[in-house]
Amino acid sequence: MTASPDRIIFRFHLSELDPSLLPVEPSLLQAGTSPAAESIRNYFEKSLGFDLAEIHVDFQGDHVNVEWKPRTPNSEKALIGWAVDILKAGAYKMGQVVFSVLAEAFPENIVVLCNYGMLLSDLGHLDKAIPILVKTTNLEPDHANAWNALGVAYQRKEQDEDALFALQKSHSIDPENIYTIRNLGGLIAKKDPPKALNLLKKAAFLLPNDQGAQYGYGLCLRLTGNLAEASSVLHKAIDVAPYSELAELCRSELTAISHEIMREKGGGVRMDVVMYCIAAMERYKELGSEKTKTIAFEIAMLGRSGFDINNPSKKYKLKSLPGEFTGLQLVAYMYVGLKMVDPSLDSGIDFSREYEHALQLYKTR
Amino acid sequence: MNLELQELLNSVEQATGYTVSVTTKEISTHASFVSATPERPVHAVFINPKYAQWGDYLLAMQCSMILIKWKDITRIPDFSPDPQIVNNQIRNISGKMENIPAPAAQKFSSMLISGLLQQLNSIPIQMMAVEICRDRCPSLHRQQNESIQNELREMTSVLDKKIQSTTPQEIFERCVAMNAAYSYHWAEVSGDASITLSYQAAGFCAKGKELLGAYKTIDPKSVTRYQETVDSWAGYLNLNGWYTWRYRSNR
Repeated sequence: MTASPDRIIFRFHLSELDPSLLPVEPSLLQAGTSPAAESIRNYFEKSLGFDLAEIHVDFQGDHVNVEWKPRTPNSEKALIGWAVDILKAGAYKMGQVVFSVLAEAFPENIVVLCNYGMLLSDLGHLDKAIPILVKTTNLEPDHANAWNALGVAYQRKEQDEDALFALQKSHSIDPENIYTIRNLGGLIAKKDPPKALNLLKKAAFLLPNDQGAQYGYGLCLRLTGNLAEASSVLHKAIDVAPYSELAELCRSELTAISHEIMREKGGGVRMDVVMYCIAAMERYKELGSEKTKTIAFEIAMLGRSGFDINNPSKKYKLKSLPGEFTGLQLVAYMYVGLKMVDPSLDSGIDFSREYEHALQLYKTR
Repeated sequence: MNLELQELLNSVEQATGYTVSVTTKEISTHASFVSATPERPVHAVFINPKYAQWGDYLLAMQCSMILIKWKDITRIPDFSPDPQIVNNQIRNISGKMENIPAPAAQKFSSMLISGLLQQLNSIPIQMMAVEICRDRCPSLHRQQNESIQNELREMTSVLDKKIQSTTPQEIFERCVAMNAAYSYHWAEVSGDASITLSYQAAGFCAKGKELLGAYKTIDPKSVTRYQETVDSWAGYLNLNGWYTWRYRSNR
């Protein structure tokens, strides 16, 4: 591999070229057939060549060598801009090859080092990423993004003290850097949620479509006891990407919040829940075990989109059981149903005290 | 929620009498569903969080597939592989794998056969669902384009020489033919033919087009279009008898 400011050779395995950047299919890349070769050659010549640089593309088995020689003083900037665009397109495999060579050719270029460090950090190569990001901050001590990236890398490595130092440094250089605000807030919230609240609120406001920022703020609100607002923020977080893993975490938090609100309203044992449990036991006895399973299953599935257990005026209907029910009533029916089907099943809400009470009362009838 | 998707969810409830519940779950496919029954009175749709960015479209696809299967609620079809024929085929295929220890060959053959039948069952209904989503959910076109292009890219990885050399030819060719048909179908729906390049290069153009042709000869209004397409493809791919249709009524 050759890498100097006057001549660079990138060597890619065909599978490292991201098909979304090239007008060809992955299998064509693997096959190394002529349409693929032509597409690859065109891509590099159009992206890097013409007046800016001399480009030679050479195929060797399942590898392609791309030679770059600058023609003008602007060539280097254009080359680095192209490399950053590769990362923006999410082509990390290709980006890794490109940046490893660029870091060798331009060992003190801040854009190259910072992006390469962030890429390695995103790919989980933290032991390689951290020294590169440290070097970046040494070369340019006022680079807020580099400090932020270093903080994230330390956080990923679970070096929270170092992470805190780096993120605070970034925040002091650029107090409006929203990503630093989000990351710093998240880190502080681990130990001191009230202290993190303002940062996370700001991050959630400035990054309305960032699910992580919304989730972080919602979680912090919950931990600081603002349950109603936490619920609203977590619902907003789910709307950003309803089918993601983070959305699932938001749903679990919402269930826990509903439960906490219910407990706050009702104090110790909720007698309304006890009565719903007794009604469910009686109903299930009449209907038998198969029907019990059906009802519990239906409630559990419908509950995926969330029952409002703290709003008695909102009513729900079931296919398997006639009538209209409140959210709290349905969750009680589900709880009892699941206990009857398999006591080890987790219904996601703790009605154990009410259930025990109901069971005792039911037996004495 | 996206209004067109909400309308599709409403259509499922109106047509089948059951609501749809969506769960995020790590599964082997992008998304899947389990139809409602009187004992489990909710259609359960599962979305793989890995593909969450196309979640609305994947949900729309699952709803469309439910509508296709429940077109006649007195005869809801279930594709059921014939265990005897499947076992014979597994023995047959694994017997040809001379370089692999018998238990591993058996396991690999079983995986290949079940994958092949899964494709036969799923690709025709997917093609029908793609058309429904294209028609009923214009606001999801971007998600549809991205999701299908990604899916087709994943599918073309089968053409890798290593996979080809380790997969028995009779399985490989049938699988790729169905993938090619799906690819050509999407090229027609989307107007983007570049996605078919890899099948042209690999020489599967004719078989893919043949299967797509068979799909097109079946009346789109036919209540049994899904089963008819599967049966027709089974004829072309010499998979007749490998499965049976079981029907249940929701009345």
